[in-house]
Amino acid sequence: MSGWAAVLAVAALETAAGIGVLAALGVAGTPVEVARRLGLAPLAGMALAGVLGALLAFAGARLGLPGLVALAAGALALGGARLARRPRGTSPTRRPGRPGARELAVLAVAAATILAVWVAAIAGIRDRPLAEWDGWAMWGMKARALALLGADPAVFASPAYAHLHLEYPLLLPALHSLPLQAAEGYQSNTVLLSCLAIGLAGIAALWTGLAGRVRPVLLLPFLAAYVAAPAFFVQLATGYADVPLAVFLSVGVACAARWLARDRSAWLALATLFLAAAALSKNEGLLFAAAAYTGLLAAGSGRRRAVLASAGAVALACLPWRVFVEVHDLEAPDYRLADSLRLGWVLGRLDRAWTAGQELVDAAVEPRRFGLLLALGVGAVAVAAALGARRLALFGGTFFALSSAGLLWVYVLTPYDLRYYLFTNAERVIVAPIFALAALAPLLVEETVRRLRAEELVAGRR
Amino acid sequence: MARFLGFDDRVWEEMQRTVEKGERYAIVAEGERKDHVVTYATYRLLPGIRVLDPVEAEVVFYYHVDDAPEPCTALGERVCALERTVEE
Repeated sequence: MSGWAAVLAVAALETAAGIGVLAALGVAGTPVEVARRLGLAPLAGMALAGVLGALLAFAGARLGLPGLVALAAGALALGGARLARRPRGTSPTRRPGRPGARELAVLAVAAATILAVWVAAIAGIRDRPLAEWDGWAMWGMKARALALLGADPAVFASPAYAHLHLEYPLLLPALHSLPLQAAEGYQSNTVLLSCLAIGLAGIAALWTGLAGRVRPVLLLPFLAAYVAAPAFFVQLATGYADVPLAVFLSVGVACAARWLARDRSAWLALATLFLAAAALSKNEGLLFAAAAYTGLLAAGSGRRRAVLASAGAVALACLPWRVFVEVHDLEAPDYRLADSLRLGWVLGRLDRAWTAGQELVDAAVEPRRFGLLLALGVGAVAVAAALGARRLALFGGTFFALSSAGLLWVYVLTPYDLRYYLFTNAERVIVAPIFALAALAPLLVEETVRRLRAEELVAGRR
Repeated sequence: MARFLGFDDRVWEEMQRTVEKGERYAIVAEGERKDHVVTYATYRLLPGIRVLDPVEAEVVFYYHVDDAPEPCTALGERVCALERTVEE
């Protein structure tokens, strides 16, 4: 089987698993809703397979193709059983009015932009090998090792491989290893195609996850800005983990925000799965997930017990990997969080935060990397905070502020030369929080518009 | 990838053929690019498993090393493989 065919076959199985997840969690309560929310299924299946793969790696095992088939069958059975227990009938849906000529023009331009970027991305990645250093040396190597050997401690806990960041969790290598197992021979391009599949599944999930709450005429242009930000597909084509992490985080915070905007608890359950996947994608993922949960706790008054349960589930999913890291004494050379307690030492390095902050801001506002994403995200939070959707604004603002502060703290703690460290990763580490904030923007704007209209109505009646 | 790094791909094919699945190998490299050689080996020589200590290895590669021990089978210019029996 070619790399393309293997990636498609694995994505189909993951989509089947994702359908089961949506039904089992109650995100889709009827067959009609399953069809309507199908766009969430591929990424939900990838998150489930990835989390399970990362957990199995802790035990020295791997999620092979038979395991993925069993996972899909199990999830479908569970979801089917839940659907069968529900009363017949469909949930009420708001039928959107017919779009006017101006709305149609906006939709057409946004859809054409998304299509053009997708075609360009697929054309660019189609035959491209893994060429960037960390792409093959770290992510490609781990995916290939998992595919060929399983999570053998002779590789994943060995000092001979210690320079390849063995302390990073194994969700993405586990996902990439699935098509590598199905493909005939090894082609490094398969890893990039697997990244591309995650990217495309993420866009579909964002569209489907927000479509019920945000009008298409608002949502599609935001998604076009998200997809067209050069960092998205350019960095995806390196095989690095930053954009896949950004995808899981974006959909996670979008689902959490939907729950915060008074939607069913099933959306928080789905957010839990995506935030667990983000936390297991890369070390920073845990920081960003913690920032998201702090935002939810700040904004979710009256529903904090549910937030704590969700955060606890993510912590549980991450715990085995932390145990693995401790048991095998895997070093994290980039920084040690425990150094935060060395007060004298930390105080002497606080000036690094200023330098790092300047560098991160410079990278974040670079239009050739992020387009208008940061302006859209920050603007949406500011507008929502000022005009109405304050809970959502508090969530988005807290998430982004804490994520950024956490990144700055890493630059304070790192033993590396600051300039060198910033040069090697500043433009990558900010990808996930910026894209995730931008994913919240359409909901923030829509909820603000809704509240303003409701206030106008009330004022009109008086 | 080998060509991108400036390595001779045929040499690496020979090295790959020398290591079986799960077999332990060590790589002794010298020169300015020895770190690149070692990192590329961990990727390219899978499903062979790298070990740090040549004493634990069933195959030891000498890459651009002067005075490699005999009998080291030549795989390319200044690259050779020494197969060993490892006592358990």
